[in-house]
Amino acid sequence: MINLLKIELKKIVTNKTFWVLTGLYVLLLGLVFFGVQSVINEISTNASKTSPISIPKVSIYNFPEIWQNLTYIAGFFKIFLAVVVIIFITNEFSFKTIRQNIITGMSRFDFLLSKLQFLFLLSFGATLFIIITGLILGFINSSNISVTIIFSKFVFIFAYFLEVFSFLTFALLIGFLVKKSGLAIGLLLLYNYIIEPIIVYKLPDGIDEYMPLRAISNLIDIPNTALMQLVGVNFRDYIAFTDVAVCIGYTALFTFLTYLILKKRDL
Amino acid sequence: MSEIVLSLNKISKRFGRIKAVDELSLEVEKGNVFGILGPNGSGKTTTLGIILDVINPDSGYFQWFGKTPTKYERKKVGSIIESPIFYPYLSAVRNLKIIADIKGIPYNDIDRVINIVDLMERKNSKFKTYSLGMKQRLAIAAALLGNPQALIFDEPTNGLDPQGIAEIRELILTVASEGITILLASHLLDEVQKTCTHVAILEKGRKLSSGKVEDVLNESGTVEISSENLEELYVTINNCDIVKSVMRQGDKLTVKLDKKASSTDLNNFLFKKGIVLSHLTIRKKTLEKYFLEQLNE
Ligand SMILES: Nc1ncnc2c1ncn2[C@@H]1O[C@H](COP(=O)(O)OP(=O)(O)OP(=O)(O)O)[C@@H](O)[C@H]1O
Ligand SMILES: [Mg+2]
Repeated sequence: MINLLKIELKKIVTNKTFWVLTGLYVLLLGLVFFGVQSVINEISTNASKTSPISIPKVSIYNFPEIWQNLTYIAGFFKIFLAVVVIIFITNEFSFKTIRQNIITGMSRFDFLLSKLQFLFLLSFGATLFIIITGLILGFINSSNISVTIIFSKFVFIFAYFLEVFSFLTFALLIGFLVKKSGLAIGLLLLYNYIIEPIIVYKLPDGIDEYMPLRAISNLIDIPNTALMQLVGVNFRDYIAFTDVAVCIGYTALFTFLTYLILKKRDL
Repeated sequence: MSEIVLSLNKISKRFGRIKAVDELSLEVEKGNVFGILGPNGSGKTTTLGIILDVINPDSGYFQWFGKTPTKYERKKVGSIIESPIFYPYLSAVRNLKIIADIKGIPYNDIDRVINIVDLMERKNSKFKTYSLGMKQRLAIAAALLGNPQALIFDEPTNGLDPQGIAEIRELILTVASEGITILLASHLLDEVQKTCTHVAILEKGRKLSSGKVEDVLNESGTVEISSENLEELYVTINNCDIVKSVMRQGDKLTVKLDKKASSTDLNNFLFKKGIVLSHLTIRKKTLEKYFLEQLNE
């Protein structure tokens, strides 16, 4: 296990593409995290000017709500990490190094395992990034700080990890299926932004939320700010057990399908 | 009874309508330098892919070291298939470290194999900056890593200059003399003759013949000779019992010898009869001719 991780790390640590892409992800998400409050402030001040009732001030950096707020926002950027995964998987096919890895003495299952470890590492890194920025922003902006309050909604962090990992196993599956990086990335974007949204739109309520990517994103619901409550909508401010189960189910399914492809295919 | 390192039993593989490998059975014994000889597209690479578990055969089975193969058997085999494959953005050393990790070998063997293929000066250059010949050398170094019990070489001299080709053949002979079993696929008759002890000849995925190289590829079959007195030579040679047939071609005679006999035997015979040859060449069979013969038989 550790050995496989060691091999995987050797493949990425000196790879420029990997660092450029993950660096870009960190930079972009960091900017969004730090800038989003001022955008919200702007909107609410503008709204107050025209609105007959006073609009409450919304702070997204308060402990413990910050965890749901940040993980919800970060959910939109996980596609970035999926692209990194696809590039690395399809590289193994275009360089034919997957073939060489097997010839040298990996089993096909080992190869899959090493890629799952890569996904795990990437998800872990993304989660760690949120924890760190969350703590910084939270300490700067919260008035009410105690260990219990800080960690009372930490479950969103775990949910976020699951969300990213599940999504990445989907990217893994597409990478193994298509083998060509451009095509695989195209397919991922197409499915994520067009195909599944259309299916979700056509399907009746109650069923549509079981579509894979929808289900994965559903894990963390839209944060329930005072603003929302004012409008009368009420979102989930907790993680539902069934959502977790569905998400884990899909992760297992994607991994299993990837294994079947890997097993059956001539490399 | 010597140890069987690799055995194939009626292995078949189709790619659509093409039968790439057709009921192929082989046995390679410990210490053999076993050549798989065949023209382009005869199924050599496919066969090697199957025994290294990257191509799933449609039927048949194979064994390494007498066992149904797992990754543990592959770790004891060093292989080059088709073209050198490495991570282009990693240096030679990093690439070899990955291979060492997979095989479970300590890193201190890396410098040894890099030295063998003479890449010490460039060991920290990225693989993609290597020339074709250097890539091939690195592939050979990778195969030698960790003293494998068997080596698989698919066209090992591809892309090498004449000196490189000579060095690699030398290397193969050296490695073989240490008792390591070698499986070598090639479309070059000459290469197989110079390096192998055993050979199997493939044609469209089928095995045409196999056995010891000197039995299968009897090169001393045909010689060209001439001397001062061609008439005398002609008469004498017709009475020689190792000669199967004689044909006059201009000022030379083309002589077909008995399977067991060599050109030296012929020369000795004539010398005893007091005839000195002014010309003697062994007609090497080209692979094409060999195949024509095999197919006509
Ligand atoms: N992945 C594949 N898909 C379809 N056909 C294939 C595939 N791989 C090999 N073939 C076909 O199988 C046959 C055997 O190919 P193979 O590569 O084993 O030949 P070879 O003996 O190694 O030839 P060469 O001397 O050119 O390397 C060829 O007809 C080839 O076109
Ligand atoms: Mg070949």
